[in-house]
Parts: sequence; C-alpha cells; structure tokens
Amino acid sequence: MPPPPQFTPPEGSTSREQVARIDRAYFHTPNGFAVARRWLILLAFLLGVGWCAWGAWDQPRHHAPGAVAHVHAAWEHDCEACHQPLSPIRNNTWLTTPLTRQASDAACEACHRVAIHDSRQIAAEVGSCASCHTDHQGRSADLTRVSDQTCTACHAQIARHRSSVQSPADGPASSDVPITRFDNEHHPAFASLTEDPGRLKFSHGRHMRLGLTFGPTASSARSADATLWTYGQMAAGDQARYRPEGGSPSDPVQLACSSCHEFAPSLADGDLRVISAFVAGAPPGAYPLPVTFENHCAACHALPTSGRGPGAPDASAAVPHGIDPAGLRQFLEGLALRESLAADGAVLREPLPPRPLPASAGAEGRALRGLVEQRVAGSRTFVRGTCQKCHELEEATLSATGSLLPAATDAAMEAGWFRVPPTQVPGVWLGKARFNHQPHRSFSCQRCHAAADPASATGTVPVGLPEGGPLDHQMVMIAGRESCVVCHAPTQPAPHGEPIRGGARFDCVECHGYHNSNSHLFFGQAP
Amino acid sequence: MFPENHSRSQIYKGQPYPAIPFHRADRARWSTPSCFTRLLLAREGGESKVGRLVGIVPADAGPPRGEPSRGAEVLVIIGGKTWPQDLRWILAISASAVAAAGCYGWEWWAEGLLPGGSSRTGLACGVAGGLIILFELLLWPRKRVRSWRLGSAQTWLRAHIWLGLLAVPLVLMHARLLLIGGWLNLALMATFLIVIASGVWGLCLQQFLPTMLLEQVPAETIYEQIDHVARQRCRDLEKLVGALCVGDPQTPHDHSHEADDDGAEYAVVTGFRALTGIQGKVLETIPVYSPIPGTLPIRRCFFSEVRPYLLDGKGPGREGLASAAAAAKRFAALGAESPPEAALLIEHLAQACDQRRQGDLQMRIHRWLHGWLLVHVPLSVSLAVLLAVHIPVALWYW
Repeated sequence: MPPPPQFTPPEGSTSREQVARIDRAYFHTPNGFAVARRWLILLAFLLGVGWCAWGAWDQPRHHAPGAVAHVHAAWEHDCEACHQPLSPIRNNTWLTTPLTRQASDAACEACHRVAIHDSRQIAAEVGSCASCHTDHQGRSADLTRVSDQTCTACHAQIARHRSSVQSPADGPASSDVPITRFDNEHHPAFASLTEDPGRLKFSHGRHMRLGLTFGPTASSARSADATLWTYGQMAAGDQARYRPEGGSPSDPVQLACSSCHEFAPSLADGDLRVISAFVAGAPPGAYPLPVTFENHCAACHALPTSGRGPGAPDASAAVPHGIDPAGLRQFLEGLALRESLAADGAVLREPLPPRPLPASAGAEGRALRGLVEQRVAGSRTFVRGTCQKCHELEEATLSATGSLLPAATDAAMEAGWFRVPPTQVPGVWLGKARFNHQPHRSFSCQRCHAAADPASATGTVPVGLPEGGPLDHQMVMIAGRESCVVCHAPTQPAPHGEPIRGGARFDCVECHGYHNSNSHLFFGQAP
Repeated sequence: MFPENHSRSQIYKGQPYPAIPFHRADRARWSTPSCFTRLLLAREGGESKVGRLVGIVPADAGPPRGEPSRGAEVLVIIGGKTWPQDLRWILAISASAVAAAGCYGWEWWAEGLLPGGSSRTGLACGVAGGLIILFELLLWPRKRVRSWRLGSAQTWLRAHIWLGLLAVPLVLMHARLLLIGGWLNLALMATFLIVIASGVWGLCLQQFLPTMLLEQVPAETIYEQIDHVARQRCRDLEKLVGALCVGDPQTPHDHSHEADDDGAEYAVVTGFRALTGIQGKVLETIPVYSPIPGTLPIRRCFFSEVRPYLLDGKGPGREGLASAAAAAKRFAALGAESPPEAALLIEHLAQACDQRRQGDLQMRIHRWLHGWLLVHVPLSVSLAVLLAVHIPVALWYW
C-alpha cells in the first residue's frame, strides 16, 4: 500500500470561516460550457459571414438554384441579363404586375421572337416566359419541356379561357372538349385525321401487291401472268433502283413502303432532296420526303400519248407530268405535227405563197391540218384517260393564242381540254402536333398504316374498281390516338411474356408546341 | 428507532433540530429501503447522545433514489401542470400548419408546379417562417433583459418551442419541399434543420433529465461548485481523520494531530441533511476526543482511496468508490476491522463519497442537459447571418 499523503491542516474550523470558503461570486466566472458556447457562437458567426462572402464572390453557385440551360450558359454570371432587380420573373407571385411581366419578357424577347399561341387566347391569362420555361434546372435541361399543368390550366376548361372569335390561322377547328391528359378518355381524337383532303386516286393495295396486280393475293396474281408487271418492263436505271439484289428482270415487281416514302437519313450523299427536310423545319427523318411523279411514279407510268402497249415508251413522246392545259396543247400539237410530217411530207413540197394567210392554205395544207387536229384530238382523249387514272380532272377552255396551228379557228379545238387540280395530299398530316418517324423506325409501317397493307385493304371498293383496290383518298391510312396510347401512356403491368404497354412519354409537349403550335408546317419557327 | 423528524445529522451546536412537520405520504414513500447501505448513528431509547458510536445499521430514512419524488411532475417542459397551455399551442400550430399546407397544396394543384419560394403560398410561408425565426432569436436578448418584464419566461419558452416547430412546415413549403438549389439556400436549410433538430433533442432531454436529476441527485448543488464543494468536504474529512485516527508510523512527520491544536472539544465539519427528497448541507459539530486506537486502516483508506476520489471524482484508478455497491462493501469491510467508536467517522467518509458520486452524476446529466446548446445557439447565429443575406438576395433576383 503506498504511504498516504501528507495531512493538510484545515483552513478553518468555525462556521464563519467555512462559509467564507464558499465562492459566492462563482457566477462571475464562466464555466467551461459558457466559454465553449461563446467561442462557438463567434465561430458560427464567422462561418456564416464567410459563407456569405464566398457567395458574393461566386454568385451563380450560391445564389442560383441551379445551372442555367446550355443555351443560356453565356449569361451564367450575368444574372441581370434575365432578372430585373426586385421584379418577379415568374407569374405566380404576389407582386407580379403587367409591368413586371413586360420587363421580364422583354429580356427574353430580345432573342426569342415567338408568335401568340392562339388568336382567341386571353392576354391577361398568358403568363410570363419564365412562368413556363423555368431555367436553372441544370445544363442539360430542356426549357421547352414544360409540365402538362401549364397547358391544362386552360385546356381543362378551354371554353372559359378563350374568346369566341377564331382565326383561320389557328389551324383545324379545335373543340371545347376538356383536355387534361393524353389518353382515350381525356384527349379528343386527332382533328387532322377525320377525313382525307387528298384528290389523288391511288391504291396502296394494288401497288403493294406482287406484280402490281388487282388480285387480292399474291397467289392469284401469279396465276394471271399476263397482268404481272416485271422489272424488265422498267428502264434500265429504274431496274437498278427497284429490283432487289439477285432478282431477275422477269420477276414481278414488288414494291415496299420505302420505294416511294423515302426519309432523308436514308438518302445517298449529295441528294439535294435532304434540303427540303431542313427547310420544313423538322428534324431529319421526322417525315418522309414528298412523293413526286418523277422520282416514284415515272418508272412505271410513262404517260404515253397513245396506246402503244405496255412496251417501253418513247421518251420524247411522253407527256411531261405537271404540265398545264396550254402546254399540253402545244406539246400534243407539236408531236402530232412532227408525226404527220414524217408520215406524209407533201406539204413540204408546196411552194410558199407570197403572203401566207391562214385561210389560204393549199389542199395539202388543209389535209395536214386535218391530220394534225385528228391526231391531237386522239392523243388528248388518250392522255385524259391516262390522267384520270390518278387525278380528278377539271374541264378547261383554251384560246387560240399559243396554238401551233396559226389558222386554228375551230371551236372544237378550244374546248375539250382539261386541267389537273392540286392533289391536296397533306405533306404533314398532323396539323396541330408533331410526329417524328425517326424514333418510330423500329416499328413496321403496317403498325400505324395498316390500311395501306394489301392484306388488310378491305375497305369499301368503289364501283368499277376491282376488289382489293380501294382508293386511298377516300380513307385516312394513319392510325389515330388509339394507336399512340399503346405506348405513350403510363407503364402498365403486363403478364409475363407479353410486351409491356406504355412507358413512352405522354406529356403535352411530346407532340404539341405552344408558340407556333403547328411548328413543323411553318418556316422560321421559334425554338 | 430514529425519530422521523430528525435527519441523520441532527446535531447543531449540540442541540437537536426542532421538529419539522412531515407529510405522511413522504413517510410511506421513504419507508422503502435504499439501494445502498447507509451508515447511521443508532440511538439509545430515542434520545440523542452526542458522540456515542454504537454501530452501523442499514438506512431506513431518506428518499430512495431512482423513485419519483415530490414535484417531479412539474419538471417537464411539455405536459404536467402546463398541459392545458400546451394543448392550446398544439391546436394553434396544427391549425396553422394544416391551413398553410392546404393553401400550398391548392396552389400546387392549380399551377401544376411545386410552388417555390417566390410563389404566393411559398412567399407567405417564407415570411411567416422568417418572422418566427426572428422571434426565436429574440429569446437570447430576452434573457439578457429579464428586468424588462417582457412576458414570463415560461411563456417565452413555450412560444419558442411551439413556434419553432411551426416554422418547420412553413420553411419546408417555402423551400419547395427541399427541392432547392444554390449553396446559400442549401446552407441555410441545413443550418435551419440542424437548429431545429438540436432544439427538439434538447426538448426531449429537458423532458426527463430534470426529473432524473431530482431523483438521482438529491444533493444537487450548483454545477460550477461541485468540485469546490468536494474539495471543501475533503478538507473537513482530513480534519476529522487527522483528529480521530492514529498516526501512520510509515509516514514520517505525520502531524495530523496538530490539526486541532486549538484544544477545542468540538470540530465544525460539513454534515448532510435530507428532507422531502432534497439533501442539504449543514454545519455539524463533532466532538473531538483523542485518537481512537485501531483506526489506522481508516486513515490509510482515506488517503489512498477516499481523498483522491473526493478531489478528482470518477476516473482511472478510482472506480472502486464510484460504484455505490462497491463503496458500501468497502466501507462495511472497513467498519468490520475498525473499532465501533469509529463508526461515525466511517459514516462521514461514506456520506462524502456518496455526495461526490452524486456530483459526478450531476455533471454528466448537466452535460447532457446543456450540451445541445453548444449546437443550437451557435448555429442559430449562423442561421441569422445566412437569413439576413438570403432575404435581400432572393428579393433582388426574384
């Protein structure tokens, strides 16, 4: 055991002495807690001040709720470029006034010039730019990807949020159906797909069949060999284009959707048709390039002037496509005159009169005129029949001016001509929405255009046409809303082994735009 | 047995204390034996007889620690006698929070976007939350100017607690349900949440620690004076040991007997008195005679074990007396090897160790009871600074 320490004498023995030993002013001496608290308070104050000082030096990261979108990255450090001091930039604040909204929008409109959404919109209900396009969501944020609520705020009760006067520029007449989301119950059917405005008589069903026959099935088409259209009947250049690799010229022609509906990304380098896609304002591949006669029809439809059989026509004798009635008359007159002169050159041996008058032609001349007129009339009838196969014709009356026959005074020559009105086939069918074929390229064309499939071409057959060849301008061959909601809907559970339904985006801006809502139809659209 | 109106240290200037009215409920409560053995001075025939140490008996008086004591129900911040007031506060802040949440939800539904701090509801919540935070901060200067009579401290504390809790949903709605950005806002929100969390933690501690302190530390003293009182008590015991115990021949120059060389027959030392659950310190006069033969073990025990423990409390090498059970065994063994006349001295040693043990427990409870303030108060200052910057910046870049 260690020795005990030395005994310490007590300091006092009386009660007075003991009371005096108590430190009655102990509270004047801070304890450890109080000292620590004071130092920590000082430290916390300095930390707060330091943090704020750091924020003043690095404002974007401290004061902005997030990085601005990449399109605004140049103004990351210039808050006043968009924010007016002490002026709300959004619409849903207590202090938002028309002046504050105008001030904030002016900063946006310095770069972005946009059109109004609808001529019937109520100006007081239109929010500021930043009310819908919320920035500071990060560099990769899409400022045009606004929430559905910004649309349904009005479209849920659209009748209350628009005036009664509609402008033709608003596109297809929209209904007062409330729209709250995209599905079969809360979104109306696509107004652009209610009817086909086209006037082109065309049968996808026939053109998609083997050999381009009228038979309903390929087997029946093969049984009628006489009607089969083979690759050998095409020009050499067209054969190389349409005939599959390893195919024979005697094989019947089999067209595919892509034979006529070409997309810009699939075109060869240097094809100037790509330019049209950019001009249309749509991303490459969003829509097929326009179907033209020269590129997609002329291989089989040579537009002959007379019935010479299905052999390869004389290119010089083919009627140019798209020609107007006067031009057609000149073309047919020139063709008939050349052929008549080639057949009987007697008129060329007649001496020229001193003053050639229209009525003073000789007997040979009158005979030639009659021959030409006869040939022109025949060719016109033939060409009319050819044009009528695809086009609806309108009668046209021509004056004698421009005729190659100087003595053409016969009234019969003035009448009987025709013109082909515009086909009015929409280049873009969805007038109030956007559609992009490119993301949908993994699906078969028949999934959305089933009516164009010959196997499903069971529509009403017009009188005079064989079964299986309905005219396409009598029906819309684009699937509507019901086809879209299969994928563009919330993910729905599916039994094992079955494909999952839904999952694709179905918000409003997935298909619709606000400024220039028919954005793919206009040039110079706003971003 | 021991008179119920007398404490263990009943001698004051050689006379018994006057009888103190004693509640029956307390007597019934105190009838339960204590968890540790107490050394008491038995009395013959109920009469006080100064200086006659006749043995060691278990304690049957004094409040057993660990059981509810009188007045415990008032030592809670929420509940107890103030529950009606708390209920009114709860109803008021609940109604306010529900109303604010309703407005927020309605604006969320109407706008389709989660309302931010600049929205109508968000701004209203932000202003209300900011004013609440300002009021919360005013509690600090309010404590500095108690003489201004700006409402009772209890009212201020209750408003501080309930309004602080109301600020949580308001600030969350102002902060777009935490979907915020910007380092200033993030720091502000983090600081706010930590301050709130530390305050709630402190509130929870305040709910039961004061009661625990009252029950477990009947000899509670001023926190800052614990060590001072222990040192003073140690000096008293040094005096007693020096006067009553024989010197240690192994220790050269042991002049402990010279401590009371004034020739007085009594020594004034610190005694303890327990009443209604509270232990108090009194001055006790102990008769001093000549050293008691056979008390050398007591002397050695004091200097080797008791004194270090009294001066420094629980620590490495001093765990023996830090445990109540171990200390009881130690002093029982010491009493067995000491003459019966030394029982009073051993009792004082045991009492002193018990007081020191309570002091250690009080310090631990005190640290828990006030430690959260080391987080709560400094971060409140940071919160004030960040808020002072957040408001003008938010309004400028609205």
